[in-house]
Amino acid sequence: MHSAEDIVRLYGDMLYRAALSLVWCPEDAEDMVQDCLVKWLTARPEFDSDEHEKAWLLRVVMNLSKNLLASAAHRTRADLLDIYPAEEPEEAWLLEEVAKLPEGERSAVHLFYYEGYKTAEIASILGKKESTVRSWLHRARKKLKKQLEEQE
Amino acid sequence: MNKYKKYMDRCSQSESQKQALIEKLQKEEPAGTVLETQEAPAPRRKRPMRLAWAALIPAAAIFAVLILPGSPLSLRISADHEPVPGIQDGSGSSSWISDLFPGKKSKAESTGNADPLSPQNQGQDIPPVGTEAHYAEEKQISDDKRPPEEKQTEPEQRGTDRASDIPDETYCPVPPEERTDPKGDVDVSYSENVCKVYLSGVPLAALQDYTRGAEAWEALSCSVQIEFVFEVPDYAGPGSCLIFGLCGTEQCLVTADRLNGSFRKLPLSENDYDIIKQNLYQAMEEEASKQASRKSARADETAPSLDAPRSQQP
Repeated sequence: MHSAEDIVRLYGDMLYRAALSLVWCPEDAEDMVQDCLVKWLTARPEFDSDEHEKAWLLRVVMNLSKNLLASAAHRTRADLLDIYPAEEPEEAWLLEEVAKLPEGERSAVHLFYYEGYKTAEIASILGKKESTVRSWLHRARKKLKKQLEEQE
Repeated sequence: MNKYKKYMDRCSQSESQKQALIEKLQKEEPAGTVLETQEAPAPRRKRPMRLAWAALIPAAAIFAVLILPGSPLSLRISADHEPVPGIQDGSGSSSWISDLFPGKKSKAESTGNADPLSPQNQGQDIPPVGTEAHYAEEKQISDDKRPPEEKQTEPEQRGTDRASDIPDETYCPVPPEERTDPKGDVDVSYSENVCKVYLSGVPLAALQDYTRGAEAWEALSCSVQIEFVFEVPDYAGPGSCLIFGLCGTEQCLVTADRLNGSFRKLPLSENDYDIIKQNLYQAMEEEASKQASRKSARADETAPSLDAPRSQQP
């Protein structure tokens, strides 16, 4: 069984980015990672594999982030690009557009394009149907493509 | 999307942040079971409460409400004046509450009031479930059954007075300072197959078409990831629901109670959660098929016989 230190070293950044992709605020993302790891520490669930553990942690951090988005405690998302500035204007534009996507689409985009999960795996992590995840990804691509065409 | 990936690669917690997090976790690690030892978690950054969870009520109380006379299901049953084995005929052992919570007695059974239709109970006024009078009477009954020393030592705690048959550790571990009176904060409305839950006027969830079925419920934005909603309109007025879902990481049962404007959650083990859900589904199916067969029987009795033998006709 992993220790707290192992978990932070192994999954800390992954959880932080997953939370960031939803809450879009570094301070809130840090809180979400901490809350998630406290849940892990309290529950101490048994996992079949490291992959299972990773998926469980992702699911928890994303649920916590969604809860935060629904609450009044959520801070603004404006400061993400101040803390981690974009290297080029296209990158900043893309991030702004991704930030505008609804939370479901954003989480699907992050898990698909960044974490490299398949739609079935994303469905299992987010507790949704695979068809829902596919439709989120389709809609997100369509919106980004449209915005890109308008920009050009 | 490579740009997104590149950008995210640069987003990471600094080494000092990680170290601080490790230290915080290591401090909590030996306690490991903070919640079991009843110690409140270490205070973290103050933020407004997401949901003002009410004092928690046990599952036994919720389902006792479902099975006792006055609840929607038993009302429907009693309207036809046909006692259902195990529920209203006093045979007792196969009552819902025993099915839902194996090994636990229903409140009615434990107070010796298992059959409100039995001769010894006839002529007594039984207040409708969900009314203050009902709860007051229930509390009175359970108080009378307890030894005097227990009555003296038990602290007054709103919402937990019907919890005598559930061990303390099943309560949701909400730190005491986070418990606030939710009155006026949470409201639930119900119309045209949509149950809406509001927190301080802000819609939290719209639960659509919750007649039955295992479809995932479309929650607009809600602290509870909803799996299944069971309507209990007669429990506390239209809009009252039992919601099965995921609160953070744990499976739980939530009651949205319009009458009291409260929103309560009860964490359940995976096993209990599945058993309760299956029993509800099964009960709903059985009730629906019973009603269908009664309807068809009535239709058969009243409909004129079209296929009477020709020889009997004048």
